[in-house]
Amino acid sequence: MEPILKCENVSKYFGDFAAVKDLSFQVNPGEVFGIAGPNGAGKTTLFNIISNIPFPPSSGKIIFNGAEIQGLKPHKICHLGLVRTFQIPAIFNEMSYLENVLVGGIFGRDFSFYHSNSKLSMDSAYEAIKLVGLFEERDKHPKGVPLFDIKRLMIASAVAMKPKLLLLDEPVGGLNSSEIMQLVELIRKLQSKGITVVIIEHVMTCLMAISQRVMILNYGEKLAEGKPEEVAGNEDVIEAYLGKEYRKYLRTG
Amino acid sequence: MKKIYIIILIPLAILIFLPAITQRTYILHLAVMSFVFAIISQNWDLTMGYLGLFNFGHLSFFAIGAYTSGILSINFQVSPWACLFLGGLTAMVAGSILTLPTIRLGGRVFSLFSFSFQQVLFYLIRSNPMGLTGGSQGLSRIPPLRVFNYSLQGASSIPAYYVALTLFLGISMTLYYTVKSPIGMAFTAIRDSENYAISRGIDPFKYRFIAVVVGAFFTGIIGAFYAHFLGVVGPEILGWGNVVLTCCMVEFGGLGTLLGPTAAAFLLTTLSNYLSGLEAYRNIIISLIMFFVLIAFPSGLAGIFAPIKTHAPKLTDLIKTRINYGERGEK
Repeated sequence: MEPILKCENVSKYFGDFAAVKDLSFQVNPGEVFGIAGPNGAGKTTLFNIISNIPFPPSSGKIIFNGAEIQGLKPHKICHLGLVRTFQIPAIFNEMSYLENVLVGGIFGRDFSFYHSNSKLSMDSAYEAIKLVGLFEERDKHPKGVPLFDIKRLMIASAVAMKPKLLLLDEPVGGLNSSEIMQLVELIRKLQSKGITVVIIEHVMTCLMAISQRVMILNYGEKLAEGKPEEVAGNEDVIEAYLGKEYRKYLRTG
Repeated sequence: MKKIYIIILIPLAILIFLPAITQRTYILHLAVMSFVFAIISQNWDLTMGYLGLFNFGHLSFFAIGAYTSGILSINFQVSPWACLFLGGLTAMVAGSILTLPTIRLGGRVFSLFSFSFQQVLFYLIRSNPMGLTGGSQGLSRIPPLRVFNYSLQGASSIPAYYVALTLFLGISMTLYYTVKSPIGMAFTAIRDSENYAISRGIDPFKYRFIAVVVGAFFTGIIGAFYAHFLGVVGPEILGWGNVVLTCCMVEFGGLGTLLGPTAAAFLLTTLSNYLSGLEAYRNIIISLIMFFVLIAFPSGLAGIFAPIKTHAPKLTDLIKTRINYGERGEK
């Protein structure tokens, strides 16, 4: 099967420091692909360079749907159907919930006056806000709202763009366990709608539960890749998370 | 829904019938000047309030419109009506010159560049290049706009008042519908969170460019009208007093509201004219009024009307009524 996203030898340097170093991987259509790793491993940087928000890779090729996208302007990449969310909660403060989602519906495709006002963008916004379960609150104004709402709105505005590939950056970080369960359900729904999902997550139970394949990064390099249960038993991964000392315990005990 | 109409309709009725209510030239003159400054501050609000882009050179578009129109009609006998449009067009070109090289370098570079742009323009006008701008004397004997041989110069001309009113209403409506349209939604999105806006498919450079250039066009047109209305124009329109006063209208009225800067333009133009006999005390009194209003309503004059503002139709409502969604959003 042709991969929907393929990164070939992608690197990002800040001066001499390599945040992402010579990384290659691919994501197959329809799967949920998890990315994990210790703090500073380059996970968010990887999303930044794939989406070109706010910077492109220093070198390497990023192939989305058969076409190279590194060097394209970030909003053009969105129009192709590669959409991301942010780790730091982002929201348009001056707009109601529905308008927040409508931004994705209107501008998510190539903007033209004809369909900006059309049923198409409104329909996709309504569909997306229902999907995340915020339809009843659609006219609320997002001042001092719960984190859970912001995270769901961010996903809803992405879904309103009718993406092919969705990059979710820590969607459940900071949420309580019942909210995590709801978001896991939501991500499964996205998958069943045919959206390929790449997800960065620190909450390992969540990541292991929803991902078909997992990649572990450390110091900007790939440490392991494979099915969740294989990766969880990988000694390098345990060392990266817990330190060398714990490796001894694993061997002896 | 009803209160907003009262706030707009009553002043509108007064403005429409003003020449019938009073024949005092002074009041009509003040009204026309208020229209002019209301349009300048509305267009300034478009970039500063809606996009959060600090353009300190906005009055240079006004000066460019006024001088282009004056020079063309005096030296080249171009029809004043055509000059109105050409003034707007030249300001638009100036807007793109200001925007294109700097907009990608971030807001701070743009602010500094716009600031120096205005200073350079001020000294350029003062230096009387090729004898065109008249130096510190300015231009005089600018031919008036004419409708059926009626001269539209000076506030004693009632057609001039109505042309000014039409320009004011036309430009205000255009701006209002622009900010309520998806373009306005893109403006707000970029101001609230730029990277998030980009990630939803909005090109911030494009919309910043649109805002500056559209603002420049309307400001240029009203600058040209100002020149033909007064018949004289001098470099002092770029002087500090004028720049600060206009900037205050936008801030004092309330950023990103359009209605606020309009109200502030009427208030401050009238006040500064009525108090002009007090000389230095004028600025002290105006400052004190602004000071106390801003303490009571930190978001400016528009903050007084804020409870009413929420009743204004929103973009989603406009679209919803067109598509006619049911109670639960079902089609």
